Amino acid sequence: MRSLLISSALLLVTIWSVSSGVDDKAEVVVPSGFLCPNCYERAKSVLEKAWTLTDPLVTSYGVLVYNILKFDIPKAQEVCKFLQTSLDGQDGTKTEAPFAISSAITKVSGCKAAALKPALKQNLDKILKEGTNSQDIYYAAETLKNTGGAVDTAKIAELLKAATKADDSPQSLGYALWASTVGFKSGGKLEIWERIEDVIAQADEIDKQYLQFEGGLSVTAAVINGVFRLADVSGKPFPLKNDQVVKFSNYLISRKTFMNPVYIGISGSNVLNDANKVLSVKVADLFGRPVDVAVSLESLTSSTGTKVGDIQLVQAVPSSDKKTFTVDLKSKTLAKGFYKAVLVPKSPKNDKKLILLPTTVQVKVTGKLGAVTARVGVADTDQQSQTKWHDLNIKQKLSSKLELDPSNKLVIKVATSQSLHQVFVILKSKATKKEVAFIAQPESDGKTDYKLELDLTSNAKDLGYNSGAYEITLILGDFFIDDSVEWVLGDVQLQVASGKPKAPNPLYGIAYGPKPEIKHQFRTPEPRPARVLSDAFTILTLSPLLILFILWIKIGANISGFPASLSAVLFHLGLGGIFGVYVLFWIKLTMFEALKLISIPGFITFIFGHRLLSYLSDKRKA
Amino acid sequence: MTSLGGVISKFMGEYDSKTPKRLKIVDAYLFYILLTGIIQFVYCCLVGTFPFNSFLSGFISSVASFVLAVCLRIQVNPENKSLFLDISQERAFADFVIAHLLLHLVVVNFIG
Repeated sequence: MRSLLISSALLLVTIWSVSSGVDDKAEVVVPSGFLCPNCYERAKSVLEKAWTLTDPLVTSYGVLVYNILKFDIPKAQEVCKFLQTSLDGQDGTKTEAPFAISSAITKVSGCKAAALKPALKQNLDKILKEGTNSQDIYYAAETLKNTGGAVDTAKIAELLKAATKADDSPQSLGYALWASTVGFKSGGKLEIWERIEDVIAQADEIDKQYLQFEGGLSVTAAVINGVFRLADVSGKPFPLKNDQVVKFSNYLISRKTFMNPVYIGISGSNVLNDANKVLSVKVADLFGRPVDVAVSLESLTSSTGTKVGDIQLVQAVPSSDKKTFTVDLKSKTLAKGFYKAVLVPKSPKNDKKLILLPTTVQVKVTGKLGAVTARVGVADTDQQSQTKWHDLNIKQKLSSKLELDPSNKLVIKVATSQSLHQVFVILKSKATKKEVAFIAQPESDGKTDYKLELDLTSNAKDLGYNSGAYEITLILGDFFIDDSVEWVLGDVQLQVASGKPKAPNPLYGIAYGPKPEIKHQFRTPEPRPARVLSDAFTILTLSPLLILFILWIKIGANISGFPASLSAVLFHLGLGGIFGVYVLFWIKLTMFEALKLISIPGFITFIFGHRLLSYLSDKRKA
Repeated sequence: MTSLGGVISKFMGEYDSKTPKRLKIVDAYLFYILLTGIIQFVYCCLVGTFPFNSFLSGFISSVASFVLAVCLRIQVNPENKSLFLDISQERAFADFVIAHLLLHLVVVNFIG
């Protein structure tokens, strides 16, 4: 309630400023509404509560709004006294109340605020020395000004600069704008003016119609009002463009109503039949709470557009909790079909805040199937002999099994008292349990007799060329019928013309069970060359070794110079060992095993190779 | 043609007389490696590369052995002494042996 009061106060202040300060020349955007006389009255009635003098805040905002709307404040003296004592009771831990009360006091004629209590003044002074929140700063400054205290504008400007730096939300900047106007003297510095552009840039545009700030009505009102106030006291040119002003005011004016729409709808089933001829209607506000209204059924119109004659303003009976109403239509005769019911709410106390609109709901009236007869006949395709008919009443079965061959036709006729949406004949094979459905068509448009002719030659494909015993079932249904029928007519033995049913496409068949296993296939190796050829080449590849030895002997390798020392022998043995391990690695070992094995001859080779080569080197140098 | 024969015979004579025996041994080894590589290549051309990794490891073994032997020959050549002052002949041989061991570990691993 409090926030509502604050926002309505800000709204009204703003709209007043907008309407007084703007010359509307916008071409594209135009104002979308205005405050009607009713709106003033409604604002007044909302604030009635203020004059019970219970909550000082409510009373304060009441005074402020009444002042803006130029209403006379009732019981001005009592209000003044109440506000004065309330202000006395404030200690300044909260800044809003002292601000609102002191502002209200200045608006009541002949009322003056007493000097602030020391505790309150101390708190406010403290905020004005080190405050960090622009809203608090504004409240404190305004309170001091209202009660005749002095305000240090330079200090406030400094605090606001820090506050808006820390929090540059529209709300913070809006209150900073307000606070800058407190105690402003013309010619003073106005650094905050530079920030206006930043704030306005933060506004969100909706539908190219509205401009608003995040945070809604109160924030938007605070910013716009602050801009107007600042432009007013500083005498600077107004910083907003005309279309911006119109968009902001369109937004503010769009929020003028605090109405309560009333919901009316069917609760539960909308089907009426002989067993239940009572329509239950739910009535609630948008929160689902019961509303004090009376509901009546104004009219009932069938889908063809004719009104039901004897239904005019049938009063609905409210339940004890007033949430549901029941309309009793037991005494009325209603034909089957869809109807449009117009439900009209009325406020017995003529409550203007409720939005009461007639609601149209759809109602369905259903009934019984009525009399039905069926005839099952066997006819010749060439129509040479007369059709043999078997007449059946509802739920009766054929007395004998009919036998038909490909030259026959099975004819089923159904006569009903009304047109039906669904008339199906189902043939179920006794052997395969497969069902085939056929639709019986009306014999002539709009008539209520239906006929199915099943030619055992031309319809053989529909039956899958399956001869044998079939059970005939007749299904009668409609959306206006409560008692749809599934009527077993009896058995027939059908000899169907032979043919080959189309084999189902294996692509679309559904195979249950596991799919055949996919075995991994190794690549087949390429054919190898003949064994003789590869063996021959192996020897050929080795043969240059022989040439090597021959050449070496020819050159005269100095084998006698082979040092007959232990290290020389072990070095060569080690080398041979390493290559031996390589051969093993090639044949069967893994890399790690081979590396482990190699470490032994490798170590020997390294030690003795080093010794041998340094011995040779020493010998050469010597 | 006589001049070509003369060049060759002169070259062979020069080689015979001026090349140290040590280098001649390495040259014979190089010649042997060359022949082995050529025979493997001929086999590959005649029969095909399958199994490719075996062929590849054999051929790579020949080529790499040839390269290593050439390196050894360069390092132990007395004419190149000024280039490899701090590498003694024994050190060159040890390098050759270690490089061979590593090379053939890879070759055996690849031969499959």
